[in-house]
Amino acid sequence: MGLFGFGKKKEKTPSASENDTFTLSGPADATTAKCIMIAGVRGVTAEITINDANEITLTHGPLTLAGENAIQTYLDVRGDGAPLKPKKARHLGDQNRWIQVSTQLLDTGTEIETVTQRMNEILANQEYLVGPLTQADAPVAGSVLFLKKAGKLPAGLDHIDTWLARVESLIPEQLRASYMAHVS
Amino acid sequence: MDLFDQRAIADTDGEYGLSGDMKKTQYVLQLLGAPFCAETLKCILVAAEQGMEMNCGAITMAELSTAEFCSVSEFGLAPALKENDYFTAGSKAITEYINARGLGFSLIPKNVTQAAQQEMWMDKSRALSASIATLVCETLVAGNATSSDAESVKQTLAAALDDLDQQLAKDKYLGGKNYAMADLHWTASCHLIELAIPEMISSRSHIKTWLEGIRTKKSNCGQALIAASLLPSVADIQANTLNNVVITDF
Repeated sequence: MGLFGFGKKKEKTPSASENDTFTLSGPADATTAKCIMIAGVRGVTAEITINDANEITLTHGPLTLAGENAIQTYLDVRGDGAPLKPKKARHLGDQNRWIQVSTQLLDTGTEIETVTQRMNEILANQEYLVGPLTQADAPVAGSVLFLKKAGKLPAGLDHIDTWLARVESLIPEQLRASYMAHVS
Repeated sequence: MDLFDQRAIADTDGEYGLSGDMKKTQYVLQLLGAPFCAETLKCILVAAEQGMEMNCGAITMAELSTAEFCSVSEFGLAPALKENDYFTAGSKAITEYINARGLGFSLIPKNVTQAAQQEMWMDKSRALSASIATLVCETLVAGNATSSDAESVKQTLAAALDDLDQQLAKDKYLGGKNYAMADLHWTASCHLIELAIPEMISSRSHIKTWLEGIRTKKSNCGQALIAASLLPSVADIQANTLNNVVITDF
């Protein structure tokens, strides 16, 4: 290490190894579906338990986290590859707006038609919700898949279907079937 | 002229950054929200902490579904933010956007475990915002502090404040030694609760001490500004007005 700490290596949070045990457990609701999609897209192998708890929790060693935002933050860094949190402020703003739209309007069933129609228009022109892949795609896909499973997703949204398949394809092959069985 | 330019007027004469004199802060922010809404106050606090000038305009609940508001905030999501040609909405989007754009160090911890634990505290604060708005409107606007709505909200808030008080007994801030985004979220929540029912805060010694500290803390960006001083008073709430974030020492 040089003078004033120059040359000191930054300590990076390591990605999860194959021996790490993650457990996701929560009720059969949209939030659990979102967290399963987040774990899948970040390539995290987790034991998934659907139960009667009030909220979704993630355990990793001694750490227990509750709620989709905490789980998203943690798995984004602990997952495979570079984190999906955008560096550009505008992408960050757009990403978080979509996360809030899915929580406030899709999960509560208040604006399903308006929001999904708009999503379909946007996804006609770009691969992901914000443009590049961000933290928003996995949880919003979880919301939409939950609506689809409940028969509440309007028909004829082809661009959303293509996007869902694109997001699903980001889940490593060895995890895909078991994760998707919980959400679709 | 859109709703931002009508309610949160950007004065083109002499405002910070309008002439492009700063690298990161090129434009004055414009915010639409409500003084009884904790989510709006979080946006004002983060702008003040990060040294971003922001003009704030009030909207009513009835306006959220109007075509005029939806034309500047898709799906009627509030609070809503404009920075020149960029629009976003929702407190999570706005607070993180300003945190990334601002001049101070980030209020989100770099350590991922700490950042995730902060998110849990922020979620707890967000979950109370509708209850807090009901309490504030019933007690300060309608003058009906003993209504059944207000009574049921008080019980919900009391349990959450007990958790917060226990947490603050362990550390100076919610994030440990350093002031962070979760503290900012709970500052907005506690301020509104205190305006409506002061005893709910004064009876919890750790929250009281923490809030007093935040009310004397200089902003995160080092400018001569105390972010919490911009939070609305009872009179501001009754008049439905929001304070602007004004930077004088740039």
